[in-house]
Amino acid sequence: MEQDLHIIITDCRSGSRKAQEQLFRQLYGFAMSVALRYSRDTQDAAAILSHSFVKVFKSIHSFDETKGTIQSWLKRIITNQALDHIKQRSRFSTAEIDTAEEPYINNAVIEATDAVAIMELIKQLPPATHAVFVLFALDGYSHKEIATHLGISEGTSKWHLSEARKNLQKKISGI
Amino acid sequence: MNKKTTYEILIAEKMQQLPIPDMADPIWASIELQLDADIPGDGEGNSPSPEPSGKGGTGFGNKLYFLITTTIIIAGLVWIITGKKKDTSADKKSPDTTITGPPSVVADSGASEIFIAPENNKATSLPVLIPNNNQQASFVDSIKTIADSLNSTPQNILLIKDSIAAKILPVADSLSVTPAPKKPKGVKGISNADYKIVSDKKDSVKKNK
Repeated sequence: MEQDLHIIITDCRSGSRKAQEQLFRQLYGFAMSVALRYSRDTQDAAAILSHSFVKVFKSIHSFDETKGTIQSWLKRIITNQALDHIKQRSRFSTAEIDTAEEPYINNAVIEATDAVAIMELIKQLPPATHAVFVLFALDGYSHKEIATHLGISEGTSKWHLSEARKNLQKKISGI
Repeated sequence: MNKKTTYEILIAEKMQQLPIPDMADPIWASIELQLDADIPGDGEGNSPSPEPSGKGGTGFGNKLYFLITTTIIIAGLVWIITGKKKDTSADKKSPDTTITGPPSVVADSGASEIFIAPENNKATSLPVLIPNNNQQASFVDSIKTIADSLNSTPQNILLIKDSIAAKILPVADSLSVTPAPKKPKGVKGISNADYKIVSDKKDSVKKNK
């Protein structure tokens, strides 16, 4: 599998359209799962994905296999593309906090709920809050990294996370 | 605040179960379109290179087309504006004071009268009165000499015999013509004194005091 990917990537570097299609189809599932977290709907995710893959094929020469996998490189490109998409359509609050009370959510309810239903609840958050929550809770970024990614302060990132938690608690307790 | 909660870890695990929509074909078609539009060719003949023809050609072609069109439009505007300026500057010139033809005369005198007129009545033509005797030729010569010295062509000199000139109809002149009498203001029989207001009663201010 890894050997196949290496050959495909080499062919992509020489500009082979066939190799580009092969790479896209091999990474489609992984890429779509990343894009879906940051998007409002499947159309939104498709747009993010197509722009991301065009960037991948255009800058495949700069991909260094010794520094990381193609998946981690692709994930970074998709995340940046999705955040650009979110930044275009929403404004990040300037409110800041250092600490906040963490709302209680019953884990049993989460376990019993379908993944699609939970994703629908997350998508109902305001775009900026949604982005911060996904970056922190699902993709494991720190507040410092989120602040750098989005061009906001760490306090603002914490404020958005707090808002997301409060909002989700209300929605999940309503299930 | 800096740590994930248990339910967030649970949500992250749940996200792995999200169904992936089957949109690979339309997304790949979109990617291919974008690549065809951006990349001129891959050297292997796998991707068709866009033809640089017509309006939808290369960026350079579009730029050239835009540049030519803009230049033509600007040149047209400049031509129109400068043409208008010339027209307006011509209108603003002082009124024409040239003599466009010989002054109207009553030609009742005999054949001995000489009228030397230029072939074309140019703007610089000047009417000159000459005496009614046999010294016309020498007079004309002297006038020509003066004209030459004034750097003027003798053809531009309009010679009129004095007997004819005596009968030239007077031309209205703004300096000599007196303006029409001023129209009297107001109503006849009422002078300025009649408008004087005389109050016998005390005004309200004084009343209050």
